[in-house]
Amino acid sequence: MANNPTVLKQNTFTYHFVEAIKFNDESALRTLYKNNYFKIETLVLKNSGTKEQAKDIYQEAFIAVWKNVKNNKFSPENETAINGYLYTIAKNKWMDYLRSPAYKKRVSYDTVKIAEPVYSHSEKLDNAEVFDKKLSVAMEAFEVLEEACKSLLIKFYFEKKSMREIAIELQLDAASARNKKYRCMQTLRGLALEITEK
Amino acid sequence: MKKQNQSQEEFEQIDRYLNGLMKQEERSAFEKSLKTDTHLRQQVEEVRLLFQAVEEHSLRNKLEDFHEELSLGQPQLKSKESLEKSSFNIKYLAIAASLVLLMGLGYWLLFGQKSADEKLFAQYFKPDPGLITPMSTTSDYEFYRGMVDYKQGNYDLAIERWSTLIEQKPNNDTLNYYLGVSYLAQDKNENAIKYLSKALESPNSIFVNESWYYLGLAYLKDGYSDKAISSFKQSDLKNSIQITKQLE
Repeated sequence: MANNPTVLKQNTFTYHFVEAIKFNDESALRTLYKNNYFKIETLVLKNSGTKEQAKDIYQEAFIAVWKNVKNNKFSPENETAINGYLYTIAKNKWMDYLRSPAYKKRVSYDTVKIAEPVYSHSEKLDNAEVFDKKLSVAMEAFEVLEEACKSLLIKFYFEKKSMREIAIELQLDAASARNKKYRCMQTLRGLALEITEK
Repeated sequence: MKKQNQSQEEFEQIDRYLNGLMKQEERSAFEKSLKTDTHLRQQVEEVRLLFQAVEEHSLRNKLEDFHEELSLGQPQLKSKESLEKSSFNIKYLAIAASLVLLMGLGYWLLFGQKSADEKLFAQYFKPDPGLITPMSTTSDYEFYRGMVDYKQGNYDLAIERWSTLIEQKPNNDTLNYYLGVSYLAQDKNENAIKYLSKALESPNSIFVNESWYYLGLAYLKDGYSDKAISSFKQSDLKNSIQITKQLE
């Protein structure tokens, strides 16, 4: 690397921003969220939607972008590219919704969940749909997990703190912190299993 | 998801794999057994699912916070969590401050008569603030995690992560430079000198001035003032020029 120092310096910010998004850096996520919301709100409001719907569609698009950036399905060259991508995804989602039978029939207008895929078109779910379904079950399980477990798991899996740091925060020794994380994950697994079997 | 018991050891291995915490050899060995062991593969997918559920759920909560901030029209940081965090930080700072005082006292008692060179080193040594630089996409993530450890002062953790990367990219000036500074921050001068010298083998590196400067400091700490001076003289940094004047 560094054969061309000038280019490298110019790119530092971009890589930083994209890497920060991958790393769930709060200020990068906040910047991305705030810089793009109102464009989508305007689009939705001009196209027969409400503010509430604008928010839902935007958040789903945001999560889709975050996932694609994380697993390198989308490798933006700069911040402008992420912004454009986010706008396009949100716009497509909204257009899909406007074309959907749910919108045309106006069935329970207020409670339509835009994000949920319509399963009725085929009996067989493809792999991605199966995974999404399992994921939402696991998130439901996380919701009912005890607070202490939630907070530990968030620190490690979302905030990307090291176990060493977490142990200090929780005033535990390293081995107990690790054991606690293990037990929390097993509880979460059990809860997800219960919900699935219900 | 099947009801199977997973031992803590099994879980931790999978967890380390998914979080990119395995070293190169361990990772290759693990990936090899993944190819043949369907049971293991299934377990990995289960943990991956839970991991993603925690992550996505947390992000969704964050998005709600961000959205509230939008309607307030100004940055509003005091969500419940950040309040907890800041009170923690104050406590932590107080503890840290008293520790620093104690350590300072201990240091003074032990090394009250440190050499002029060491004093000068202490006066000048401040680890590079750290930055993010592009490398190939696959190693970016691991590099960045190391950078986070580095910035938090967990130099041993940063060294551990970057040591894996440097095996793959032994000539990378960025890695060599930050490894060198990390070792220096850990008082491991011999390694610091080794990596900083290696970083200087890349003639176009953007870290040339910094590498010479830290190399000078490493020599200074070891008591080689002449080597230190000749290193500082290679660097255009203001600090290098200043410290050279003080040494000569």
